[in-house]
Formats: sequence, structure tokens, C-alpha cells
Amino acid sequence: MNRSVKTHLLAVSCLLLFVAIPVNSQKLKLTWSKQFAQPVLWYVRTSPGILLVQVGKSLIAVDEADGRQLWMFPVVEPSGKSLGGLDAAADRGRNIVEVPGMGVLLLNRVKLPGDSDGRLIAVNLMTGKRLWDAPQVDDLMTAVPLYESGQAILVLRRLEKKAFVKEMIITGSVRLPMLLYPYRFEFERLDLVTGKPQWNAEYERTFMPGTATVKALGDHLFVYYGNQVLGCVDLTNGKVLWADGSKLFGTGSLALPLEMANGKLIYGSKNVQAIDPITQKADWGIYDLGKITGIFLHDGLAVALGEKSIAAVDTTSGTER
Amino acid sequence: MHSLERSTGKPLLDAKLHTDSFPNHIRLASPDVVVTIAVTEVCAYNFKTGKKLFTTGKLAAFFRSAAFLDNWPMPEDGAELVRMTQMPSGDAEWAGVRKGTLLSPDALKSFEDSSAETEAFLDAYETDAEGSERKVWWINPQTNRQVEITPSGAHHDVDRRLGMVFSLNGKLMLGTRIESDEKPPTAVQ
Repeated sequence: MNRSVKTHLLAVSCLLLFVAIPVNSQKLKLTWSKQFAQPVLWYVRTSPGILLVQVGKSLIAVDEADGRQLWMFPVVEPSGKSLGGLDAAADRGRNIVEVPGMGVLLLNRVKLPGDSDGRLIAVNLMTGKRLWDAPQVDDLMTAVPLYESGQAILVLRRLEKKAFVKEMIITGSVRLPMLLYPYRFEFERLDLVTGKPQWNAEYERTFMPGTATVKALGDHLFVYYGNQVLGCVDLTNGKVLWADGSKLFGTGSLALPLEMANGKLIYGSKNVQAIDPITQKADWGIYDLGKITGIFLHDGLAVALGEKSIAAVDTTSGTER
Repeated sequence: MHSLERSTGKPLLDAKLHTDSFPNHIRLASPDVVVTIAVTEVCAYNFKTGKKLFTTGKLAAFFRSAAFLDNWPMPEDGAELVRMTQMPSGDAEWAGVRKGTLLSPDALKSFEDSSAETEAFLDAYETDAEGSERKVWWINPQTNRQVEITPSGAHHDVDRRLGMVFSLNGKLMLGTRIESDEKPPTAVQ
């Protein structure tokens, strides 16, 4: 076969390899439209099929299916500037948290008519009824639902003002990028519907912005930062049971999952480890994976992916399959 | 791209990724198709054959079928790939939800149904290719074909379970229904 024929065949093969699958275009039919008095700043979907729409200073709940307005707060004043706030668009979803399935919406750093200072307000997502409120917090990062008890752990981030000022002095800049602010976590366990607090506690470690996960597994709350630093908090009283991992700057890498199987916490650090969540005693590990990129559990099997290799072990014994 | 048998580790496929940049996320988009997401492009592969199906522009937004407001900070276009808040799981947690929820019975039923549909492949993607308009698409799990829509306005969101697409045009908000004209796959005799 001569060279030009070979080249031609190769080109055809490549074409066949990359030929696009047929695209099926679908039509859209207008079902509803809603004209607001001012431009819409942002909107988000929520778990019961309700759209939350920010229009000027108003917060409006709209039914996804028919565009019907369900409730409205005519004036929701922001109270102070959020940490890391860059522009108006970045405020979408910031300091607003929904507890999925519970119908509770939490609005932080807001003032409704009649409020003299910034509040953290819980609202019935279906009706817009104000359930309870408390003084605002620096930043409401998320709420960890404790579905069995109807409670949640509010995860708050508090700016470390002294460390922040020190950094500004060291860098000689008053225009330090806001995204580099140091912060500490504060946790508050409360009843979602009444707001009655059970405990609150500060996690005594300073973090910088980066990938952070806070997850409740069993009787413990785990703080997992930068896919390396891990801490364990007792869910009954907020006390830190242990903390592991050295101080590090944040990473933008996607967060690795924290999993629990057979009463053992399974997580990635330099290796994948299964530990006792109370004593921190290691039960088994998966080593030499390279940088860990994924972990998942299925049917008694823990599968760990790294940049060098992939391994699957029995979650009970750690024995490689 | 590698696929292997979960229980034994037996390799099923080793295929070369034909991509300009290394993917940082991979999602199952149908029983046969995975979507790889890199900074500059989104690609789809049949992971049973290794065949690349298409390449499209960079990810602008990702729309989950079961959405809730949980990400901090939420990206402007909503391309949240990793969830922060845990959904209920197990009988005891679901019993707690049913006991304590403020949702109406219909809304709760809808939430439970959507939570159970994790294998239904009802997510959608919005990609932005240079020089062309943004497009919203997904993979039909029955045909493994790309399905595309081009909604008007800006700041789209998609609820495939409800079959609705939302968009903004200044003061106007639009809710449009996806009109399915896909033919079911013809049975092979």
C-alpha cells in the first residue's frame, strides 16, 4: 500500500472515530412568563420546585411549574458586606442556605422591615413565614442536616480579624485580595423549626479559603480541609475529639468524599485510610496510589483512585480484592 | 480512560482520551456515556467502546435534576459539581424528614421521587463554545444521543424532571416546557 493511500485511510479512520453522534434538537414552548418591576439580579432553584428570585431588594418565591408567585419579602436589606464578596452576581446563593426536604430556608446578614440590626432568619420555604431569628453571623457556609432529629449544625465562618490585619501589614497592602482572608469555623446545633440552640462551639484552628467539607457521619461531625486536614467533633456537645494534618494553604481541588463503613471513617490524605472515628486508630490503608483523585464505596468495597494506580479493598478487612 | 469490573478489577477498556486539556471531572451521563469536563472543553465518550462522541465548548453551567440551594459560594452560572449538603439517606433519616418537614405533602412526594432518581440521568449541561451561542444539552439515556436545546434569554436553569427551562431577559422571567419530539429507538428484529 502506498503512502498516500495509507494517509487517506488513516484520515478516514480518524474521521470515523470522531464523527459526531446525531444531535436531536428539541423545541421549547413558553409555559409562563413573569414581568417584574425591576431587573432580576439572580434566581435559584430549591428542592420543592420553588424558584427564589432576587429583584432589587425583594426576595420572591415563584412556583417552577406555573410561574405563580408564592410569597414575597418586599424589602430584604443586606447587612454589611459578605466575606469574599466580589460583585453583585457573586451574592447569588451566598449566605442563603436551604435544608433539602425540610422546607427551611436560612437567610443570613439580612434586615427585614422592623429589624434594627442584621439577622440570621429562618423562613418556611413554602409559605415565607418567619420561623425564628438570631443575630447575624459573619458567613453562613452551610447547614449540615441531622434529619433524624429535625436538627442541623450551622457551619459559620468567622473572619480572624487579627490575623487578617497582620497579613495586610506583612504584605504591605491594604488591597489584599479578599479571597485570602483567614477564618475559623463555628458550629451551632439547633432545632430547624424553632431555632432552639443545643450547643455552639468554635473550632480552634485558622483556615484559609479553599476546599472544605463539613459532614456528619454517625455521632460525629468531621471537618475536612484541602483533602488533607481532618478534625472530628462530638455531635452531642461540640467538643473537638481530635484533629490531624499539618497547616496548609487552601486548595481549589474538588473535595474528596468522606465515607463511613462498618463504623470506620474512610478518607483520603496522603493515603486512603480507614480509622476509628473516636480513637483515630488506623484500621487499614491503601498506599502508593499517588495523589488521590477519587474514593467511592459500593457493596462492601472501597475503590480508591490515585494518579499512579487504582485499588479496591474490602471495607471490613482492608484486604485487596 | 479506563473502565474495569468493580468487583474484580478486571480491565474492560483502556482508551485514549482525545482532548486538548486534561479533564478534572467525569460524570456518567447515560448508561453508556460519560462526560469529561476540562477547563476549556467538555467531551462525551462511549465508555463501553472508548469512542469519542463529541467535543463541545467549556462548561458554563451544570443543572442537576434534584436541585437545592447549598453551594457556597454558588458559581454565577450554577456549575456546582460537588454538593456540600447531604441528602437524607436510610429509613431513619427519611422518617425524620417526614416527621419534621414543612413541605406540603405534594412537595415532599416530589422531593422523595427526585431523590430516588439518581440513576435516571436527568442532569443537563450548558456549554459555551467560542464564536457560537451557548447551548444546553444532555444525553438521552435510551438512545445515547445528544439532545440539544437553545433557550432564549440569559442565566438559564433546567429542571429535566419537570421538563422546564428557565431564563431571564432583564425584568422578564420565562418558564418554557421542553417539547419532546424524540422518536423512541426502533426495536431490532
